[in-house]
Amino acid sequence: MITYVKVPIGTGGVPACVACAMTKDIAPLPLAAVDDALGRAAARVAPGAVFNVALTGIEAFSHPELPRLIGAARAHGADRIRLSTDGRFLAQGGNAYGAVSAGVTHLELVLVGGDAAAHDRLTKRPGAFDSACAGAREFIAAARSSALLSGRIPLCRHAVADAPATVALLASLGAVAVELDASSLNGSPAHAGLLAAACETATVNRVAAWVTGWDGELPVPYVTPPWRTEDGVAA
Amino acid sequence: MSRLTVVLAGINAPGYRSLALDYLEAAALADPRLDIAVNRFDLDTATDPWWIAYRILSLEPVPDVVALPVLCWTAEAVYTVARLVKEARPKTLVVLGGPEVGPIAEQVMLEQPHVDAVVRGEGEHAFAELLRSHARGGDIGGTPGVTAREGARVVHGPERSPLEDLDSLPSPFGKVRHATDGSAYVETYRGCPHRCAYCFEGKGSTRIRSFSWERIASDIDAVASTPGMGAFSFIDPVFNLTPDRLGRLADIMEPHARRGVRLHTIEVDIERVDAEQASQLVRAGVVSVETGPQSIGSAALGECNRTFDRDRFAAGVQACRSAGISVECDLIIGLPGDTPDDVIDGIDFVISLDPGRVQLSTLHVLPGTDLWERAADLGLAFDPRAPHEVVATRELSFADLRRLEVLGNAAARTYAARLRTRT
Repeated sequence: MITYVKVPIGTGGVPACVACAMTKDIAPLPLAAVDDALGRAAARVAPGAVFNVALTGIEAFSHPELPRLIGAARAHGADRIRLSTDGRFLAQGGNAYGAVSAGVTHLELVLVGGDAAAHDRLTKRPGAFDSACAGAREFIAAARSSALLSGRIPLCRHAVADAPATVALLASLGAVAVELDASSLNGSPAHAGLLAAACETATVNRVAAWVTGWDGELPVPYVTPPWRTEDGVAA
Repeated sequence: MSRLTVVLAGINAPGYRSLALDYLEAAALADPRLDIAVNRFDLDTATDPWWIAYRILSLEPVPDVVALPVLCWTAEAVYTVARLVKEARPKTLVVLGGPEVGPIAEQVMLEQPHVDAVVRGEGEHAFAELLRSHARGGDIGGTPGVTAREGARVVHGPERSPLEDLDSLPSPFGKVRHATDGSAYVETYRGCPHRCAYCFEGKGSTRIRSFSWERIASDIDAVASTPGMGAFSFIDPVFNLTPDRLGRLADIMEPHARRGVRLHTIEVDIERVDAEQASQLVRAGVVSVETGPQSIGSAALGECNRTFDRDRFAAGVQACRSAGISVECDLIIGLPGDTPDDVIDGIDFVISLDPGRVQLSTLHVLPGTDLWERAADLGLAFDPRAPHEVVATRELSFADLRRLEVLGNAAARTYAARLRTRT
């Protein structure tokens, strides 16, 4: 499968259930530091291999230098560039089209709930869900076949019950794959059934799904992602 | 003998034209013993069969004969058209042919009461002879290569040997305006050197019958010289059948390639491609090739009569990529013997080669193939209705197949989304 190399571009802003996760202040990394990290990551790529980069750690569209960061990734030879976002800013100011034009080939949309009531309540961000959906649709329209949308659902005991609905929603937006991040569930067997239901919801909607951060047994085999992400170099 | 009105109706992938009907039409029109008027339709799979029937049934005069080629993915639509035409015009003779129906002609005749005849195997001479019999008012039953009805019975005409002299077939290539956007095809030989268990290309034989080089050059020139021709392809299952053959094809194509005509999705034995063959492909104007491995699992390869040399495969892909040729690597999900890990390993392998394109499909167990014949022994369950998609194997449950399809699609989409191929 494709392998992305993680290059952090900051911290904070990534949506999560505020009852379970500490909200981090947004702290973007300086362009020069990220550029240096990109260069070191690119240098590690074997001759003839492809450099695919995931710009991580932060709500991507909150980084003031995002276009230049994408440009830096391209300048270092990145063939695939992935961003992570909660989607709120995608529908603003032509961001979706801008992202595709700039060179984003993969957008990971992070959602905690499958509708506004769930997502906005858990993240304490009124209006965030509707903005995310609008932004995702704009991205899909801009991308056509040159970029793809995937989803990531950070699960906790508050969000897990809505996991199947969140998966269904991401499928309806055009996501090709969904990561169910179960690292905050602590392997509780009570949640295994919901994880399985979410994975099966993905399959019947023709969306690939896999579970990360889960140590327990799952009644269905969902462990293979359609891409891999490796730790890269710190900025 | 009265003049027959014949409809040849192809249901094709969007934008494509049936080469089989081109050959049938050319052969029938060239037959001095036939007096026929032909209406030719090339419709696509998105067209509702009722509207295909409308196109046929709205003709004046009403066609005497309606002939439709049948592939696994057009079968249901064709059967609907046949049923509608026959119900509306019982006197119209409905004739089917093609790889979906030829190998199981009797079964088709029993299951599709609206079909009057099935042409088995190569259709050019069999179809022309069927038309002659019908025009004379005679019985078409007993026509070599044709399965037809005699009263309540289904009768098989004797087997017709494959044509020895392909040049005896009138060329269809000078008579139509060919699509210039890549959907036109040329055929230089029939048969296949391989016996892949899932494929009907060789019709159970590894024998190759080739057109003469004069004919091949003429056909290629006719297509390549079409004003505005951008790209076309070949239906030959192995373009690089021999180094000599590849070189001669490159000789013929080179003048056209120099003018900018390109060949796309050319099927090759990638393990035989080296720098020299890649340069010949470039000389011929090839911009993309299509190849396997279909599977890299040893059990599936064994069951499917395929060989696989990982290093030679990778070297062939590299030779093409170094020459600027994109390689479409195909994988089949659901081959007998493949486990989920085999499928995932196959996806990993082809993506690691960075070939240009990765294409996954689910196994369809096609009539007349080795897998069709051995399905029960192999524990291969498939949908008896066309397109005969695999339902389960000994190694993969129905659920496994669906999950692997979805995973494979996501992996292929992720692979395809990249900056280097953006226009």
